[in-house]
Amino acid sequence: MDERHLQIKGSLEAIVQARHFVHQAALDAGLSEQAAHHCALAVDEACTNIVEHGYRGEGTNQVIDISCRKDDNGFVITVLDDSPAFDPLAVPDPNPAASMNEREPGGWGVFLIKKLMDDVVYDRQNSRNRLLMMKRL
Amino acid sequence: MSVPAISIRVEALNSKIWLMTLYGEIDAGQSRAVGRALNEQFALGHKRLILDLAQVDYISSDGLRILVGAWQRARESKGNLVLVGVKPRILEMLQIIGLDLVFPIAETQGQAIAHFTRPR
Repeated sequence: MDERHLQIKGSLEAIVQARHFVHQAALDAGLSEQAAHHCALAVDEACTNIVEHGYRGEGTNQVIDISCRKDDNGFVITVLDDSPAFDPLAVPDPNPAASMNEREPGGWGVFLIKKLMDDVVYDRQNSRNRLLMMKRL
Repeated sequence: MSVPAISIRVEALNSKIWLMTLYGEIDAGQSRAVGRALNEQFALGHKRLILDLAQVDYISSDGLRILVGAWQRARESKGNLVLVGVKPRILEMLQIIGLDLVFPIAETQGQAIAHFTRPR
């Protein structure tokens, strides 16, 4: 599978494009329907965090770049954005066993990404946030 | 690419229990519409709700957050929110986050109705 790219606006309404793009690319790379769903959910959660917390709902003039590729290790999704530097992986995991009253709000999206993907890495590249998410084939 | 809109249907099963059926995909862009529909039901005093997710193929954590908020509001009103028709991929998410221990989840509408007659 050749590397594929998609650029979307930094708005919640545009995220469905990223989700469907990644889902199809994952299927074309040979992932199962369930694994492709996990990839689609992971990119949705990553983009939602960027729009809501990075761009703070004002990203309609900003973009998110998504790319998918297949390498020896698996199917790799890269998400790039221009919001201030922020490592989503540094967010403490919620405790799934805690009662709702004891839970801190938020953090579910990143927690799902960590649980559903086999490897997740954050770094900065050319002054942009870069999140790499890998699913083994 | 067009954005699939969520559709919502509400019907009374009897004088005390309402069924809300959702159709579509519930991501962050659509979850607010679901939240508004649930709030409308609470404003009408409909605090015993069954939420049918059999036609929902996708839900993100934002969508789940809306459902948790509705469940909390129902409980505060001495009511409840029971899920029915939960597909395996959505059940998997609920289990990862630990929400399967929070929401009453029924396999059939009859079982969902029975939740409202059991002592809590």
